[in-house]
Amino acid sequence: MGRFLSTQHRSGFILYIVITVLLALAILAFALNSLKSGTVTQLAKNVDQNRLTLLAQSANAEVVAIIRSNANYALDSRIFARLRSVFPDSGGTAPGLNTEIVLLSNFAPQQTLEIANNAGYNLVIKSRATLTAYREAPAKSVLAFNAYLDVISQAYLDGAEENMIEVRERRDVRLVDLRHRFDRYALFVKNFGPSYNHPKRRILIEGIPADGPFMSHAFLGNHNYPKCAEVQKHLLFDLFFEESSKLPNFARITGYSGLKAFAGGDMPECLFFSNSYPFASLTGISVSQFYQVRAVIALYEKFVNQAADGCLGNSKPSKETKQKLKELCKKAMDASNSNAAAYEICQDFHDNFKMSGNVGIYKDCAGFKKILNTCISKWPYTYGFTDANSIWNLENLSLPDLPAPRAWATALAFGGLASPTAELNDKGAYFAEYLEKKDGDDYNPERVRVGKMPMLYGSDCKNKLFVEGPVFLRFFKIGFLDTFSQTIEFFRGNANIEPETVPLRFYRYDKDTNNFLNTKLGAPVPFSGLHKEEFLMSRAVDNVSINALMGDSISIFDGDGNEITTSTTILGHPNTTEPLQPGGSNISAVNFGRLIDFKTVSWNYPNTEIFVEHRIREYDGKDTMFVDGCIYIEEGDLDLSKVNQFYGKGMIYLGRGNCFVSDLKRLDGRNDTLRIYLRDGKFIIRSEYDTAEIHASLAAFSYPFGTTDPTRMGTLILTGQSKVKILGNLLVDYLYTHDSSGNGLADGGWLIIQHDPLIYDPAAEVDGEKLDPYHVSIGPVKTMYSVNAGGKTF
Amino acid sequence: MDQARWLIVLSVVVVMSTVLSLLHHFSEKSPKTIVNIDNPAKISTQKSSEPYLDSKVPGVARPIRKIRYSKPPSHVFSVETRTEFTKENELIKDKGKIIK
Repeated sequence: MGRFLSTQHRSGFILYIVITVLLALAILAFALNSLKSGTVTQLAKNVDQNRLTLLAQSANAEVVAIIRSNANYALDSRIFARLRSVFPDSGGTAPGLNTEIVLLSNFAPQQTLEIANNAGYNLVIKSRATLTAYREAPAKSVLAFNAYLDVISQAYLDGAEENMIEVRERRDVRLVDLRHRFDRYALFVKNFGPSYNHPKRRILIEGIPADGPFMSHAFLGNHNYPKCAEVQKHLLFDLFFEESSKLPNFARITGYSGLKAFAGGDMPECLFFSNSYPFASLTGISVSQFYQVRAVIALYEKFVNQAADGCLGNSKPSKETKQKLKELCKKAMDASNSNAAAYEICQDFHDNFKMSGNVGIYKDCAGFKKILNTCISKWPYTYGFTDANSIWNLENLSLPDLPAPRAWATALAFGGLASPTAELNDKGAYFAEYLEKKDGDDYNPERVRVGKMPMLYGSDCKNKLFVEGPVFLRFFKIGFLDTFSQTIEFFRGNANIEPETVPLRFYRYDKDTNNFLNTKLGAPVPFSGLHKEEFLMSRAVDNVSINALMGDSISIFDGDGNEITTSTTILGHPNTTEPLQPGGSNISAVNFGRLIDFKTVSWNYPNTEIFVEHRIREYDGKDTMFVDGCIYIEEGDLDLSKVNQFYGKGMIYLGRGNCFVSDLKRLDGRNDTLRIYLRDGKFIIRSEYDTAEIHASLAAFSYPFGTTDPTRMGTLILTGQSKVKILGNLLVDYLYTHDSSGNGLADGGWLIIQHDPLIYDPAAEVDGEKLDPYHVSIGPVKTMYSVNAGGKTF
Repeated sequence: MDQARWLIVLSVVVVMSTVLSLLHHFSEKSPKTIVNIDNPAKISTQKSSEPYLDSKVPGVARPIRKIRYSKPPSHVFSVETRTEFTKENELIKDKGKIIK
């Protein structure tokens, strides 16, 4: 019984458990049923919504990626064109600010759809993207816009449109036109440069392949010209026959028709033009101006000495001059018959010669006047033009020493410019005159920097370049009064007049203005070149504009952008003293710079370290800088000397600091352009080798503008390199290719500036492909994000 | 009997917890399967905000054979005034303000 009870009790217990479990399952089933009809349905909906949101986000990301990849390089794409429609000069009518520009509409992002399909979801996704420009940079010289990009994607399961999720995001967009007036300059230098003519540290500019008014410009200013007494502060570029003669207007300027030498002169054929002209035909000078011509005086005194010797019976010829000769004449007269011709010669000198201070006055002596008049009627005035390199030995130039003249240029006849004389402290007249002090200042030592002008027109002298600024050509005239032989009646006898050649030395124009040397002739002497030769003396011709080398006139865009033809042959006047600018504007070159609109800058960096960290990566085994629109760096030295290449298009604007560069080349010769603007710094070449090649526009200007402190000025420090090539352009406060501290070029070095056509005109058409002058930066950060499950925008 | 009762209660709790956990687990896990895509690299490239991961493939330097220039736009001929530079300088002097 007990056993039965025990078994019965156990089975009852099992039944109890089974019932309890069944009850629990029933409760569970009930609970699940309730959940399914309420919470589970909601849960399922949430799951769907999350899924759709995620896919809509993915669609937005895909759309942003598509826009970004089409923004700057897909020239044929619709998105590319529509982004640029913001700009007023992009071809169409600009829609204006706060107008929506539809970039994409009802677009089905394929990658996202593919993801959904792979996950087994039959999804419908539509995207729309619009651009709205809301701000334009206020400065006229900066064309840039702030805009925002709205991307909206709608996602729903096919057949369940009522359960749609719309995700919207907004990103900041900055659109800039990278073009600037500086682009048109291959070289822009505000300050005077003393080394432009340096014969062994030279500048070569390769302008763009010109087409009509499209040509490279250069501005070379004279600000901070060293203090001197001369008022005129021009830049003088020395013609160099070997190169300059290849230029189209060289012959027109110099009268060149083949190299010549002075007849009978022991000299190389180095004259562009030479001529001999009867002195008697000259006008504008008076006989009285020749009373002190040494050759005439010497000839006259020789005759007087001979007469005195005759009277005194001297066998040894006397060589007295001035007062001593007068005393000799007195002795001769005392020892001679008064009827003799020799007596009369001595008497004429004794009675009429006077001293005025240290200067002998011969003008009242009849014999002197006779000789002088003979000379005036018979002198051949001979002159020719050549370059500095032919006169001075520039191969051995070692600054600060003055260059030595070549041997032929020191011969008596040809020595008017360069022959060193004790009277001029062993210098030639040209140097001595300008090194002389006036009113406590040197007259103008910068004029003694003779040499070879920069190669402005390319290595083959075929590229055009329009030079702005007070830049003139310089070449030299050597003139002399040649000897002749003439027998004249002289005091009842005959005398053979054969005066020495008279070198016509250089005199400054402001000095001793009664001198026949620097007196302007009444009419110019014959010369087939451009200028009128109106002085007798040897001198520098320095009033022909540098631009005359390209032709008598040249077609350019004026300061307002109109195509004009301007004359290059107005003597003494440069085409422009300041950089070309719009009519009515007269801003000094000193105050030229480039503005940046901070609100349209794509990237801001507080210092260069962060910039380097963020922007420089290794690509293809080389340190590569990635450029994206306008990048502002607040301060710091930017060391790009290890960066081999860059990729992208844009400008780095460094607020304060130097930039070290070495070899920095672009990756793609059609698309990549870089401008580096140092607002308060210098470019310094830092290279392991003795050459450097930089593919960028390099600009360095001090701020505030116009500083006279060289440590604050913007420049390119060449650090003794033998060859520095810039494919771009160079814009600086000053530029020295020779520097006593060794920061210029190496001896024999070259600074080559090849004006990059892509910098000159970023909108040019290259081999039929239109380039893009704009850059669009799309911000990495969402400035707005929203999810909408209760309606739709489109 | 008392022991058995507690066993029943415990078993009910365990079963319900397990079922609810399973429900919870599946409700969270299911959307994540969307991310398990065949080619995640493609997507990550597109989503990148880094401009230097642009899809453009750098080409070799191409020499220019023929070039035609365009007429420069008007802003290229504008000259910056001293006032504009002064204004810019004022902005730059506010160190750090430009950096956002």
